[in-house]
Amino acid sequence: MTLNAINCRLLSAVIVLIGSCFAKMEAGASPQVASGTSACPPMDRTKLMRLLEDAPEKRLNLVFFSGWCSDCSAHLKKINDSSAILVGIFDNQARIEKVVARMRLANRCYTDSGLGKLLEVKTVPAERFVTLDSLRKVPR
Amino acid sequence: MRLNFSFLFCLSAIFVVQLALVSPSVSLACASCGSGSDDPLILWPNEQLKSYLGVSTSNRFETVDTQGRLGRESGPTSRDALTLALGKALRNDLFMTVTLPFQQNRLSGASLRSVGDPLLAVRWTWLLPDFTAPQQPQIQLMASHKFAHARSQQEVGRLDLLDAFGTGLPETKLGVDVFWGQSPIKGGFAVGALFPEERILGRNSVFAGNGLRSTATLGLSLGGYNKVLAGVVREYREERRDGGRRVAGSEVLAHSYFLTLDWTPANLQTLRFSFSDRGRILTNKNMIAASAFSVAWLSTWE
Repeated sequence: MTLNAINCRLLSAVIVLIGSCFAKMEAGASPQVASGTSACPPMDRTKLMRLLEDAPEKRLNLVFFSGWCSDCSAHLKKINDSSAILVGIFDNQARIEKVVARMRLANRCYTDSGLGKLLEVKTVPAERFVTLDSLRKVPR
Repeated sequence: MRLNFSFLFCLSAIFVVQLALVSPSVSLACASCGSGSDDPLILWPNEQLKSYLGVSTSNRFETVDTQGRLGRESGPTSRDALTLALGKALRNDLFMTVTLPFQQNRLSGASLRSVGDPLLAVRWTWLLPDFTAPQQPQIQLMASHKFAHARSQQEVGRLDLLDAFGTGLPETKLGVDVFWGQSPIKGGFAVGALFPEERILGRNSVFAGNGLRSTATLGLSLGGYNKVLAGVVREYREERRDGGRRVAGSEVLAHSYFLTLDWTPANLQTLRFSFSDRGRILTNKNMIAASAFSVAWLSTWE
């Protein structure tokens, strides 16, 4: 094996390692604030249950989006239901909050914390209408 | 262009099986997803496991000499390939892919099959795009290693080179892929440094020379979730070394262009048609010109 080959393998390893560190730093940079005090706090099943219990018709429209998805922009602009809840998914909280602030969206906003998997959201944009009954039927 | 029966059968089988697996859903795949076309399989943050099944046929092989003149290639007249690739996300911003080609060379009615060179690639997304800032590109760092599994021209046993399926040299690529995909008109570029390993092939040690592969891509959203991409690839390699000695005038320069149509018939399923022509535009030197057409099905499983 030549020195050249060893060097390029070392470089590959270094790039992957540096990448991992940067990504962890970015993930760590997301504000870990208590629910209710940040623009888009994490939302899980329990929190959605509470929101549904407080909702007037016991039903909610969840709009899932990501900051990196160009189609999400047009989709979010079309929302005319002020009670629809925005859920940022496949993205970190800081980026989701930045996107919502830049678009000046008045809807309540959350960051996905397991809901996407529960409601089988695999692509974005996606909408899910949930009721207390339908959510109770979804297996944990 | 010639696709034999077995490949057409494979393609039909893939189409039918994948179509049967498509699950109905109200949501649609993201149209901005795309890259500099440097690798066949790119995973997006919502994708955990993705497969690529493609069939391709290459023909119109011609040698390009040191002066850039085209001449008849003495090897196979066409090559068909079935390419399987699998991509797995290690995190939302990091994924790896494994690519394995199965190839078939043809010459005057005779044909030989072999497994080609496997490729292991890793991509880390340093910067994700943002639809509120479309001028901000996606930036990915890429590293890949091609294993020299297939026989090279220096190792073959036949004079007609029908049993040559690879370069015979393992190669590592390190690079960056930049893509602006948030607008209807998309574009980007990728640059990769190529580091082949020196190996004993036949009686001599052979070193192909370090290289640089650059790709420029321009794309257009065709409405809905379909898009067309076109691009130019420039590949340069330093002079080759045979037995430790530089071979004067052996540097390689190859230009090619490609056209790719991505059609998304169903959620998380993409059908890709590609055409590429290598060595017939701009200046070329010490390479083999070829045309290739491929059809591939990309499927997201998780």
